[in-house]
Amino acid sequence: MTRKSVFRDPAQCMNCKTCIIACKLKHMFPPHNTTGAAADPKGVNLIQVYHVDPEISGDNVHQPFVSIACMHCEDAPCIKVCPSSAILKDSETHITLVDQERCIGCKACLWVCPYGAPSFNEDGKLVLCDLCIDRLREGKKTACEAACPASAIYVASPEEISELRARKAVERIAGGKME
Amino acid sequence: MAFISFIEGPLLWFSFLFFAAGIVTRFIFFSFVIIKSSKPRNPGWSNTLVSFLRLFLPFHMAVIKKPVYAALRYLFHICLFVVPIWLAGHIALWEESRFDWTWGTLSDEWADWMTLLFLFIAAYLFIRRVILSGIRTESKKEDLLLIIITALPFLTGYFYAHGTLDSIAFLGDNIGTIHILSGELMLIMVAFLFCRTRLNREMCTGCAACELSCPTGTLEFRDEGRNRIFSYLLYQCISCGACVNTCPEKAAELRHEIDILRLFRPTSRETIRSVELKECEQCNGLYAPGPLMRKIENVGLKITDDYIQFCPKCRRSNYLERIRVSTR
Repeated sequence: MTRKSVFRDPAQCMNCKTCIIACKLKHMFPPHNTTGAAADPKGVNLIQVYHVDPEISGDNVHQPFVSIACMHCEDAPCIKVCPSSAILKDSETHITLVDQERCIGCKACLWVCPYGAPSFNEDGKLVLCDLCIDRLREGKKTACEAACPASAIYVASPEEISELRARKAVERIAGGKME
Repeated sequence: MAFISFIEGPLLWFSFLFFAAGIVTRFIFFSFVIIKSSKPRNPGWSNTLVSFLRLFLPFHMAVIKKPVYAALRYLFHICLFVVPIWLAGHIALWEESRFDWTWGTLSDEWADWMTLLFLFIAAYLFIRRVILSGIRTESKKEDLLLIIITALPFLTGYFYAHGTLDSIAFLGDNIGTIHILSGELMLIMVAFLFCRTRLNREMCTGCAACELSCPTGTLEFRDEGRNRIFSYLLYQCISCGACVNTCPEKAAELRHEIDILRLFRPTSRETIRSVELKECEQCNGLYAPGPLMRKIENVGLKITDDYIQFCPKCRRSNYLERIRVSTR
């Protein structure tokens, strides 16, 4: 398997949050406490969808939605900072993976992540997007990519991703399809 | 000699009964507190029990982190229990007593060597605590007293058995009395002996991984004002050493301490450390423990990008802002 990279296109995302649900179903995240004062029925989310404040100019409304999850940085600061070496790169696909057994829950990864992406489960251990590495190994698409109705999520090699992004940028400026 | 008969009779009874009563009281208070405690992430009683029993075996991270110190500690405690219980001289007294109890004896040669070993380690621990500045600032006077009280029966017992000090008038005559008295003092002290986690001020970064690993909820932290405050409920500690195993900075240590008042305050928490929190430069909110951020920025990794000064929320909103500009 080649190196994998992820691109979540904010121009195409429509805030339907299907990716979040697909991800939760794939990873079987239990809901957090649903009773008592500390109730948090939302539970662990690996993907979060945020909306940027809209810009309105005449009839045009510009509001991209951005889904943030682990970006699988090549030179990841979380790997450097982890005191118990619980975060590691998959040698084949360069996907950032977490060893739950080793994680001690010090949250150093959260304090160095440029995107504020790490989330923590009920035991305080780090959970991170693993790009559905088991599905990728079977030759399937990741759960979020397969579920996204707007085709806003792409998981491919970095070269393909940069080509795709270049094409999208050109399309946006030119306002049409590039052949 | 009315005094010696008092020490050998009523006072000995008193110390043994005090010792037993202390243990029972401690156990009752401990059970009360541990049942009452509401640790949100309770890993289960079997897990707690296993982490408690692991303390007795040298198969955990604390040994790997400080092998020499851990080995000395194990030797010290083995000698501490084995010598007084299996010493031939003590068993002879038990046989003479009204209980007429007897059990296997330790050979005198072994007892001598173990006593000497014990005294050397005790001296090492004492000197270490006086000299090393990191430990000295964390220690109270009681901590030094604890080592002295523990070592005294062994020291006097060794002199008593060998007659080393017989030529010195007062000590020579009364060494047996002093030995019994110090032994009784040690027994009484056991009721007030607690185990407590110390977080080294220079090494601890305030990441609170110890809080997460604690199986009984003894260690807790809360972010209060500008500080993260670690509090400790002494009675809940089962001295399992989970915090020592977990601590990535080797800052957590389990130590004994004598605290007389603490025996009667089973549910009161005490603050053991306070760490200042770092302020986000954008929203002025407090987010991460300061020492940890300083370590990330200056010591090990030197990650000095601008974003490190912002809280995760601001980092996200900055990223969103970049996206907005790029998709416009």
